[in-house]
Amino acid sequence: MDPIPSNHLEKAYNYYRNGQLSRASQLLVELIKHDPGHEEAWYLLSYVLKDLDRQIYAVQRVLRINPLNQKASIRLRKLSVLREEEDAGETLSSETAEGSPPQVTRYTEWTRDQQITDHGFSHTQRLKFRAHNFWRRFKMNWNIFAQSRLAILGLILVFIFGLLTIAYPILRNTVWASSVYDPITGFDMKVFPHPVPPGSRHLLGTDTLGRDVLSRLLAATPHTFVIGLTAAVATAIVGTLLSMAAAYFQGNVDTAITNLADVFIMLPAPVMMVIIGTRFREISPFVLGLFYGVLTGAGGTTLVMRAQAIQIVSKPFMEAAQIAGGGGRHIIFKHLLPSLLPLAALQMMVAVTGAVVADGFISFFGITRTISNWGTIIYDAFIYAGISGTGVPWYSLVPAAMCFSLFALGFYLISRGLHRVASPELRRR
Amino acid sequence: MTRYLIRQFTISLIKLFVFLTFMFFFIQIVMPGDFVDQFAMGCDAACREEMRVQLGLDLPLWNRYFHWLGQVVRLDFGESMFGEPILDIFKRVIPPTLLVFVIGTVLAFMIGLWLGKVTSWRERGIGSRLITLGGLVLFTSFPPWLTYLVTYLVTKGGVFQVVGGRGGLRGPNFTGLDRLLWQKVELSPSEVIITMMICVVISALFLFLLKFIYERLTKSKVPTLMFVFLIGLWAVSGWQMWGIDDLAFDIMTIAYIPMVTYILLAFGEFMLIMQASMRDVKNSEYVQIARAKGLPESTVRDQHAARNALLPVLSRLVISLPYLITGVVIIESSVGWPGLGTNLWNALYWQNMPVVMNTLLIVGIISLGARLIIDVIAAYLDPRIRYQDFQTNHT
Amino acid sequence: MTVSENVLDVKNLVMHYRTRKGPVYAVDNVTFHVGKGEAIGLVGESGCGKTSIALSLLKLLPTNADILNGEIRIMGDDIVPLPEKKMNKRRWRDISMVFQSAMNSLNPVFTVEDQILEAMLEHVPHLSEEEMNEKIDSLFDLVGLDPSLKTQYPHQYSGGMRQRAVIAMALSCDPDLIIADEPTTALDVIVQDSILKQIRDIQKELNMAMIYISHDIAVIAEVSERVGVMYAGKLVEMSSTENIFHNPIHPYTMALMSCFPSIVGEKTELVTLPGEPPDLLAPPPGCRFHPRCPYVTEICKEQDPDYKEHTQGHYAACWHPGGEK
Repeated sequence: MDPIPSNHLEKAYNYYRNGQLSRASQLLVELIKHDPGHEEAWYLLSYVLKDLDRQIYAVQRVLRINPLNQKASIRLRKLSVLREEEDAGETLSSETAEGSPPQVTRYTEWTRDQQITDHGFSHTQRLKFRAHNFWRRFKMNWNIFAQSRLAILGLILVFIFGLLTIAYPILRNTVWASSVYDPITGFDMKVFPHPVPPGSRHLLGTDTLGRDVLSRLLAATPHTFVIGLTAAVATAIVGTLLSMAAAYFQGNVDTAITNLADVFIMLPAPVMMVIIGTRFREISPFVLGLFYGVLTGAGGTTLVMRAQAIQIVSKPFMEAAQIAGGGGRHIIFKHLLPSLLPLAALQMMVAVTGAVVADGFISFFGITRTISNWGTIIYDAFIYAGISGTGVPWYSLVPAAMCFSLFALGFYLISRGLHRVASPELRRR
Repeated sequence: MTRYLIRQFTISLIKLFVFLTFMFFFIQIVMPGDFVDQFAMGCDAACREEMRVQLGLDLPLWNRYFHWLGQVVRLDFGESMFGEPILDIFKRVIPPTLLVFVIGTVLAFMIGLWLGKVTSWRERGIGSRLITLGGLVLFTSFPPWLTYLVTYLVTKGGVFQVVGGRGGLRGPNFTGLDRLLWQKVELSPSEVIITMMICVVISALFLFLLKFIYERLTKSKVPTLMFVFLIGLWAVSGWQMWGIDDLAFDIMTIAYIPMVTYILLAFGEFMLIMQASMRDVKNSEYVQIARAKGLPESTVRDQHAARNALLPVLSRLVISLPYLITGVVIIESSVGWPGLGTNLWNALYWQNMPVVMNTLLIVGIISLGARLIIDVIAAYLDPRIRYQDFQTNHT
Repeated sequence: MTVSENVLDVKNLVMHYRTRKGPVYAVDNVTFHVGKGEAIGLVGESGCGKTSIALSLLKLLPTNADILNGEIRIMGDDIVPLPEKKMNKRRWRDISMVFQSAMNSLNPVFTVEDQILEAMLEHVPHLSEEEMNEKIDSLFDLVGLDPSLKTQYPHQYSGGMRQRAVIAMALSCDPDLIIADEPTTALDVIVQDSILKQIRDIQKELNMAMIYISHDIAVIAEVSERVGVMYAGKLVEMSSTENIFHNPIHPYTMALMSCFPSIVGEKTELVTLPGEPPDLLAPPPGCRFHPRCPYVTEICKEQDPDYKEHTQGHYAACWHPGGEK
C-alpha cells in the first residue's frame, strides 16, 4: 500500500546483516509505528533486539498477528528454550569460559540462527553449546511426541520387530538346527503329518511343507525392514529435494515439479512393482524399496511437502533474506531444510507402511518367489492348502497377517506422534 | 469457473499423455519377452516370428507407440492380442469395477467422515478410542488377508481362492451367480450392473436436487442417514421398474464382498484425516463462538466444525485417490471380482499390451475425472476458492 | 446493594484443568461482581487465568476443565448447576462474547449475515424475517459497517471489519453482559483505537454491562470503570480505575503500573519484575506472588492472604497492602 514501509524493511534487513542493529531497530520501530500489524517487521525486530525478553515479546507479536507463522513459532520455541537455559547457561559459562563476552550479547549472537559467525567462542565451547541446545530441543520434541500414548505404543512395536530381526541369526547359530529351521528348505522329520498346530515343539506350528512358522516369520523380518527403511529414506530424499527446488525456484520449475508429481501419483505402485518383479525375479529388497521410495517420493510426498515448503518460503523473513541477497544455499540449508525435516520424517513413516504392504502384495501373488517374506507365508498358506486339501492353516496365516498389521501400525503410530511435533497448531493442546 | 475447468481439463490431458507414454516404454523395456513368448510357448522360432509379424510386434518400439497413439486419438481402442475388440472387453469389465469403486468410495468417504467427526468430538471417550484403534488396524492391514477374513466371516469358510501367481490365474467371470436365473435372460451381468448404476446415479442426483430445494425453503437440514437410505430406496425401486431386480439382487449377493472389503480398507484413512482436521478446527475461535452463541451441540459440530474440517480432507483426497484405485485393483484380484483390475493382471501376465495400455488409459481418466469432480465440490463448499481468481493453479 | 441489582455475581469461583501432570488451578477462589451498565476490566499477564474466567462465565470450558466450586449468578440465577440445554438458552441471550482473534472469529464458509441470523433464530425466534434484517442493518450501522456488506463472506473483510462484524454479532440478541476478550490485540493501532472507542460508545449508549479483558493496562484504563488485576489464577486487587492507577495497594499492581510494555527506547525504561510467573502445576505456598514480591515476609510464604475490602470498594489480597510492614 505504501512504498516507504517495504523499502524500510529491506534497509533494516541490510543494516541487520551488517550488524548495525540499532539503526535496524530504528527503522523497524518506525515501520511498526506506521503499521502495527506488520508481521515481517515484528519478526525481523525479534532478531534485532538485544534482550531475550524483548525478542520473545516481538515474536509473540508476530504470532498474534499471524498465529500460523511457522518460522515465528519455531523461533519462539527456540527462544523459550534459551530462556529456560539461562540458568543452565550460567553454569556452563562459568565452567568453561573465562572472560567470554557478557551473557546478553552471547545469547543474542546465538539466537541469530548462527548467521553472524559466533565469534568470541572457542571451537569446543561452541560445540558444547550446540550439543546442549540440540539435546534441549530433542527433549522438548520428545515430550510432545510422548504426549500421545499411541505414538509410544508404535515405538515399542517397531522396537520389538527390531529385536526379532536380531533374534533369527542368533537362534539359528545357537539352538535352531538348519535342517529344521531353514525358512525355505526346513522340514521337521519328527512330526507327522504337517501342518501341526502350535505346541511346545513349534511355538507357532508348522506350515503345510513342514517348515516352522516362527522361524519363517523371524527370517522375513530383516527383509521387511530393509524394504521399508530404504523406501522411507528414498521417499524423504526425493520428496525433500523436489519440494525444495519447487519452493526455491518457484515459477516454471514449481509448475513443472507439481505437474510431474501429479503424473507420478497416478502410477499404481503395486502394478509397477509387479512389472519390476517379473523382470528381476531375484530382486533384492533394497532395490525394491528404493523403487517404491522414488515412486512415492516424486509423487505424493512431493505434493505434500511442496505445499509446506511454499508456505515457508513465502514467509516474510525468507523474502527479506532474498531481497538482501542472502544467497540461495544459505536460504535452502539454513531455513528451508530444517523446517521441512519433521514433515519428511512423517512421510518416511507413511512410506514404510506402503512399501511393506506393496512388497507383501507382490510376493502374495507369487511373483518374486525366491524372497521369503510375510506375503509369501500367506501365499503359501493359501496355495498349499488348496493343493493338499487340508484347509487353510490359520496358525501360519494369522501370525503373518498380524505381523503385517503390527509392523505397519507401529510405523503409522510413530508418524502420528511426529505429526504433532511437525505441526505447531496441534501442539497447543 | 468455466475457464478454470477448461484449463484444468487441458492440463489433465497432458498429464494423461505423459503418464501413458511413460508406462508404455516402461513396461515394454522392463518386462522380459513379449506376448508371443508367453502365449506360444511350444512354437519354434519361425512360428513365433510369423506371429510377431502378424501382431505387429516385429516393428520397433517407436513405431508401435505411434501406432497406438494414433488409435487413441481416433478414440479407437483396437483389438486385444487375442483378437477380441478391447471395447467389448471394457464393456464387460468396467461396470463391475465402477460398481465397487464408486459406491465403495462414496460410502467409505461418508462413513469415514462421519466416524472421524464423531470420534474427534468426543475424543476421550472409550468408544472413540476403540473406533480409532479399529480404523488404524484396518487401514494398516494387509489387503489380501482382509479380503480373506471378510470372505471367511460372511460365507463361513470357502469361496476365497488365490488369484494371480503364475498359472494360478482365473478367468474373469462371475462365480457364485445363480445360473438358472441368468439363463432365462439375455442380459449379461455387466449390462445389468450398468442399469443398476444408472438408477443409483439418477436417484442420487434427483434427490440431491430435492434436498437442496427443501433445505432452501424450510431452512432446515435433512438427516444424512435418511438421505442415503432414500437414495437406496429409490435406486431399488428403479431396478424394479426396469425389471432387473432379481438379477440386481443376485449380483449384490456377490458384489458386497469386494465392496465391504474395500470400504473397510478405505474408511480408516478418511477417518484419520478427518480426525486430524477436526482437531484443528475444533479449537478454532469460530467454533468457540458458535458454542458461545448457544447453538445446539449438533449444529456446532456438523455445520461449523465439520464443514470446515472437510476442506483439507478433500484436498488430501486428491492425493490419495490413485491409491484408492490401486486398492480396488488389489481387492478385485484377491477375490476374483471380474473387473478392470483382474483384467489388468491377466493382461500384464500375457503382456497383452493393447489391453494393458488401454486399461491404464481408463484408470488415468477415472483418476483425473474424479479429481476434477473433487475440485468442483471443494469450490462449492469453500467460498474462498469460489471467489478466488481461478486462473491461478491452486494445487 | 442487593444481589439482583448486579448483572453478574461471581463468588469463590474455582476452576481447574485436569492435566497429565496434575490439576492446574487456572481460576482460584475469585469473587467479583458487575453492576448494571457497568464496564469492568480484567488485567494480567498471559496465562494468569483471564480467559479461563471468561470461558467459565459462558461455561464453554474444554472437556478437561471443571468448575469445582463457587457460584456464577447472572441476574441472580446461578448458572453453574444448569444443564447444557438450559445453558444454551442463556448463552448469547444473557452473556455474549467477543473473542481475541479477529481473523478467526468468523466461520469462513458462511456469509456474515447468516452467522448473525443463526444466533437470532436460536434466541429471538419470535421476530419476523424483516425485523431480523432490520436489526442486522441497524447493528451494522452501529458498529460502523456498511449494511450492504452483510451478504459477503468473512474473507472479503479486513481484520478491523471482521472484528466489527463480530461485535455486531455479539449485540444481536441484546445481551445483558458482553465479555470482550482482548478484542483489539490482533488489530493495528489505528483500527484498535477506533474499535475501542466504538466499544466504549456502544456500551454507554446501550447501557450494557461489560467485562473487558486485556493484558494491556492502557487499553483497560480507557474503557473500564473498575479494574481487576489477576495474578496466577487469583484476583489480587480490584478497585476503581482511578485507584488502581494512582493508588495501587498490591505489590504486583504496583509493579504492573511501572512496566508498560514499551519496545521503543533504551532497556532501562523497562522495569521488569524479577523471576517468572509461577508454574500453576505447583504454585508456591502462601501468597502466590511472594517469590517475586519486594515486601515479602514470613507470613506471605505460609498463608494465603484473604481477598478483602481495604477501603470503600477497594479489594485486595495482600498481607502488606501498599507495601506497609
